[in-house]
Amino acid sequence: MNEPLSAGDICNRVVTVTGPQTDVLQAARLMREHHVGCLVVVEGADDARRVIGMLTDRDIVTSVVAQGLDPARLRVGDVMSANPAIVPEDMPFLDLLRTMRGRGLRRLPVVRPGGVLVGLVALDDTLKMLAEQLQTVVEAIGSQQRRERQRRP
Amino acid sequence: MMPRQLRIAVTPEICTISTLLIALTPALALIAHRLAPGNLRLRPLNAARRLSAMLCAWQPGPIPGPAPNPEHSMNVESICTRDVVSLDGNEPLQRAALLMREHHVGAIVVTEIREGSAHVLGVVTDRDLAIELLARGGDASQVPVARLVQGPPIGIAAQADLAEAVQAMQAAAARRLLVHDDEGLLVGVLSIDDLLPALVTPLVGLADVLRRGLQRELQSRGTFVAPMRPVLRVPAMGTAGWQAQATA
Repeated sequence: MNEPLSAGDICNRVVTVTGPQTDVLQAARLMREHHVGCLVVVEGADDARRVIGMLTDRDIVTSVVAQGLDPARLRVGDVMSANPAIVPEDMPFLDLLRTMRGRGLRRLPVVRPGGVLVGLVALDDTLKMLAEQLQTVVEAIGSQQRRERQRRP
Repeated sequence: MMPRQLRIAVTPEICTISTLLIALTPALALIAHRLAPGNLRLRPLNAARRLSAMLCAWQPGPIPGPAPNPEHSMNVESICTRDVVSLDGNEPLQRAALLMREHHVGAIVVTEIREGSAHVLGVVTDRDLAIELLARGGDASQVPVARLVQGPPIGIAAQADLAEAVQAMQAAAARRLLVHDDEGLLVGVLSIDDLLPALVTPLVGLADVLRRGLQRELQSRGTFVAPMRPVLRVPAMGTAGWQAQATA
């Protein structure tokens, strides 16, 4: 029970996924529908979805739109970043941050043994978490001071 | 710009780190900056002077330290991105995408020519491009980028401080602000990614203060060793001399 906070503890388990055969236009629509900036590309069925790529809105813009290519004629598999960095669900939080730092990545898929997707961790979510913790620290200091005054007025 | 009124309630007790944190919660990094040596002279506040005097062993007057470095001043201008990629609103989306790829940026400023000069219409991000264009269909080489701009741009004065920048982003629910000078000229773009290091560095410094405090205490006072109990000398009955006898 003394395990440090892990990637599996903090990742978002609701992940928008797609397959490599989906066309890029459909992928963009999927991003819009679910209000996400990236899709995790997987293969395999439900409980055994293995991560094979990542596709971000940025990828679509720089690879498709900038080149004047027709998104309806391209497949996700053509545009995605294949073999993306992934992290195991038991990776400690600080190591997770260091991995993002070391590889210059804002998002990392979290996997079970065998590369099966369990969730996605975004740098922005870690910020929210840390800010909340800091805020609580500050409030704890405040309540400690109030208690001090109550006990020894 | 309206002068900021900052009131910090300081009691006569010794100013501890925790007192500091309580008083400064709303704009932690900002205040931490103002108390840094050398920066007090820039924007003197009565409360800040009092606090700093207490921190420096009750000596009044300016805190010795490095000369104020304009690069250290925590206003929006000093941390925003100055290299801004811009594009006329009539240019097609494809051109915007190409610029993003070439310059490795995720946002560009869209302008229009009015009365002979370029006016800022707004900011367009890679996300805007990907989602709106592809979701609605349309030819990237035909759609003008101005069409993607939503609403007037959210600006902030170059001299605004970090707390004001955060508040402006909160109010607009925007990750980016357009930084302008007094004459309304674009100075740069400020994003969350620019703000975050500026806010976190002082916080990390604060944690370092605690570490150094302990170090200093260990060095100046050494390891505390309990004094030996005084040895009482009492005349022993029946003997000619003194005998040392430890107390119970």
